[in-house]
Amino acid sequence: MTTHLNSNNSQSSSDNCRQILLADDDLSNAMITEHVLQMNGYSLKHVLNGKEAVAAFQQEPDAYVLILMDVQMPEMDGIEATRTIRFLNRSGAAVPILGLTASVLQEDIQLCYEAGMNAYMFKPYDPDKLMNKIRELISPKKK
Amino acid sequence: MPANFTPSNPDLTYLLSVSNGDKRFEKMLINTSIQSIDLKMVDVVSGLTEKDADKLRKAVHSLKPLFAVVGYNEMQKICSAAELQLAVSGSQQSCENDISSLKTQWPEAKKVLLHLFEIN
Repeated sequence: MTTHLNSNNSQSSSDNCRQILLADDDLSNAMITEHVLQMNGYSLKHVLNGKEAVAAFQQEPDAYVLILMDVQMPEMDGIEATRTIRFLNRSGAAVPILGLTASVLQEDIQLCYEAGMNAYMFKPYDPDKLMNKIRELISPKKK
Repeated sequence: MPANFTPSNPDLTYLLSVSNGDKRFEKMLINTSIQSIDLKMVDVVSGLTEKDADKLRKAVHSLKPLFAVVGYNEMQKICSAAELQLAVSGSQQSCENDISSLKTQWPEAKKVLLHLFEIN
């Protein structure tokens, strides 16, 4: 199942250039992320697991400036989804993937990097820190 | 933590930091978080009953940010401790006291939240 949390009425081309894909089965975190991103001028496509994230990316590989990837999800976790997206995307410019985790274990963080994530954030995240990290990761693509 | 622990009002610092003063959003987020916590508590109980340490670890892992959102940071800490114990020992016995504490505290905390945010 795919949920569309984005409630922006205007869908200009610049909005499309600032679309972020969120893969997270935690609806509370998705609500927070949507709220913060909308306040900062980004639109969001929300999917509930890694399998859906891979499918969304395959369908529109150039549609997203960044992927927010939860690590622990049903069906396919964020580690496997990231590996798959990196494999699919190996010949093109890599979309930044920001891992989201509530893990306290260093080995889990290491797995995020090994899978191909660019950075990670602990959940629940501070809105300012999230936006700073997103801007840092997408800055070379900023329009 | 005593078994008859009664939660005080939640620490809503985090909620206020993300809501930007949007009261409707705050209520929706608390309501969604309560429902998510209820579902994860079912997983916690079944993980214990089935002696499935992995299921239990995943459930307490998911509960951590949810308790932070609703402002019950002590319960978040209990989940962190339980997750760590489960990761180290691989046995649900290591965190039975923590889980028991959560099972006692959450219904009381939920009542406070429902009252505070006027959720029916």
